[in-house]
Amino acid sequence: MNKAIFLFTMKRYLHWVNLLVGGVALTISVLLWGLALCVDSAVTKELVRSCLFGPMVAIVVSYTVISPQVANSQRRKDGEYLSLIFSRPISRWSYVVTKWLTGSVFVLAIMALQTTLSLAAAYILSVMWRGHPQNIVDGYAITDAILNAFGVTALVVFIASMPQRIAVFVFILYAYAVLFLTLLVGTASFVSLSLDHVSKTVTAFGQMLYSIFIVGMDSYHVINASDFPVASAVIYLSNIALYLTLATLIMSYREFFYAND
Amino acid sequence: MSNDSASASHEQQLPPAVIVEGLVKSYYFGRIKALDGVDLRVEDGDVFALIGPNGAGKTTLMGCMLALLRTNRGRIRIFGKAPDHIDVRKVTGFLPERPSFESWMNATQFLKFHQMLAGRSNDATAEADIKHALESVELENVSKRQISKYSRGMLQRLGLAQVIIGKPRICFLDEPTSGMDPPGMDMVRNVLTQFRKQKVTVIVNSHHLDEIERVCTRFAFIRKGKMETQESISNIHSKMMIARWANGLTPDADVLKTAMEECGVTLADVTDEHCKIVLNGRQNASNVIQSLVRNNISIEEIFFDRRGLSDLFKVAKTNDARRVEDTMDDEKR
Repeated sequence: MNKAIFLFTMKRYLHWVNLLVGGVALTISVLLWGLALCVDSAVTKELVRSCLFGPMVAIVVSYTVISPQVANSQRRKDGEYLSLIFSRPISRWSYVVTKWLTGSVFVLAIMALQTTLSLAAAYILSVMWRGHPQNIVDGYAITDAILNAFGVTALVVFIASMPQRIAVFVFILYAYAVLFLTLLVGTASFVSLSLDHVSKTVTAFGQMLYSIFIVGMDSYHVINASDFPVASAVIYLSNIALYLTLATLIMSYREFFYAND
Repeated sequence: MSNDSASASHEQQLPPAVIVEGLVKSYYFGRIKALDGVDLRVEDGDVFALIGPNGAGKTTLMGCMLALLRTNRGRIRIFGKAPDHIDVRKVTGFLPERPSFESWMNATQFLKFHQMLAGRSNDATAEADIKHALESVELENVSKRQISKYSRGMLQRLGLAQVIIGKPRICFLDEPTSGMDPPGMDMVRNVLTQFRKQKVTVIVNSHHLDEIERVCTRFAFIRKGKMETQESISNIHSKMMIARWANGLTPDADVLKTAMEECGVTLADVTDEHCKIVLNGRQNASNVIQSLVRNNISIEEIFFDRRGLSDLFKVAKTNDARRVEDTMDDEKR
C-alpha cells in the first residue's frame, strides 16, 4: 500500500466541497432512516438494515468517491493526474490496492456515521412521539457492513479502472445483471416449492453467478455456522483478488499520456 | 592500477543515461506511425534537447521513455534498466506539457504529496526542500493558494517545483517554458543551469530554440517520427555559415547554386544581403570560400552563425518543399 496515495485520497474525500455535498445527502438519508426506525415493523427494520449495511450503499458510496479518482487521468479537473503519479516509484498494483483500501475504509466510515446519526435521529423522533426506536445494530449488521465494504469496493475499483466511457457502460450492465439474477434466484426459489429438481438447479446456478457479481458473504452463516464456512470465504476472497488483479491488468495496459490525444 | 585509471574504467562501465534502439510506436493498429525506428543515446549529465516540428513525435518519444506509453517495437534503457523499473522511477522527474494538477490542493500540499510519492518525505531536509523548491520557481508567496486559482504560467512553475522536489537524476521536461512570461523563462533557464551543474541528465522538448542553444549540450532533430540529426550544440554552431555580399551585389542564383554544389554544402537561405550555408563539418569552410571566389562571387565577410538551430528548421522546411516539388514533377512526367 502506498502511504502518500492513501493519505491524500482520504484528504480529498474529506475536502469541504465533498463534505458539503455528502452532508446534504447524508442528512436526507439519516432523517429518512430515522423516521423508518420509529415504525414498529419487521419490514421497515429489514429495509433500513439492508440500506445501511447492504451492498447497495457500498456500491453507491465507493463508486461516487473512487470513480473520478481512478477512471480519469488528466482530463478531469478534480481527478488525479495519473501520468504524473505513474512517473513516480509506484506500481499499478500498489495503486489499485491503496485505492481499494482507502475506498473500503471510507465506505465503512460512511456506514458507521450514517448508522449512528440514523439511530440518534430515530431516538429524538421517538422521544417526540413517545415511541421506542428499533435497534438494528448487532453482530450480523457489523459483519455485513465489513464484508460488503471490502467486497463491493474491490468490484468498483475494477469497474472504475476502465476508461470512463467504458466504465459507465459496464456499471449499467452490472446493475442490470444483478437485477436479472435477483429476479432469477427469487423466482426460482419461489417455484422450487412445486418444481423441485429444475428450479433448484436454476437457483444454485443463479446463486453462483450472484456470488461473482455481488462480492459478499452471508453474515448469518459466518456467525452461526458450526464450522467456519470455508467455501464461502474462499469465494469471497478469491473474488476480491480477481477484481483487484483485473483492475491492475487494466491499469497496466492503459496508456496514461497526452500524446496523440 | 592507479586511481585515475580505475575511475576512468569505472566511468567507461557506467551505462549511458538513455539508450533507445529501433523504437516503433504506432496508433490505430499500425495505421499511424508516431515513431519509426528511432535510435537515441543520451549520456549521463547531458542536457539534451528534442527538437522538431509539431507532430514530429517528440512527446510520444518522451512518453515511451517514461514508460507511460507502450512501444510496438524497439528497446529503451534508462541507466541500463527498463524505463518502468522502480529504481528508474525513483530517480526520474517529469514535467508534463499540460499541467492540470490536483486542483483542490495548494502548492505546498501538492509538493508534499509528490515528495512522499518520490520517497523523499523521510529526508532530514524534507521541509526545507519544499521551501527551496517553491523559492526556485518563485511561488513561495502563493504557496497556500488553491491550485485551481493558478494561471497557466504558475502551473508550469509548480510543475517544475514538483520535478525539483524528487531530487531526480534524470528529468524529462515537455515544453517547460510553455505559457511562461520572460521572467519565467529566465527562471526555467536558471533551473536547467542548476541541473547541469549538479550533473542531472535533462531531456527537454521545446520549440524555444534560442533557450535550448543557451542551456543544452546536445540535441536531436526529429521529424515525421524519424531521428534526423543527433549532435552537440557546439557542432551545429560551427556548421552554419553566413556569407554577406559585397556592396549589396546579390549573385546570380544559378552561379551560387553551382558554387555550393562544387563544395558539397547546402544552401539554407538567400536574401539580398547574405546567404546561409550548412556545412558538413568545420573543415569545409575553406572549400566554401575557395568555391565562392572561383565562381566570382564577391563577399564582404563570411562567419559562423550562432543561430544554428532555427536554421536547421528552415533547412528541414526547404527540403520538405523541394521533396514536394520533386514529387509533383514526377507526377507530371
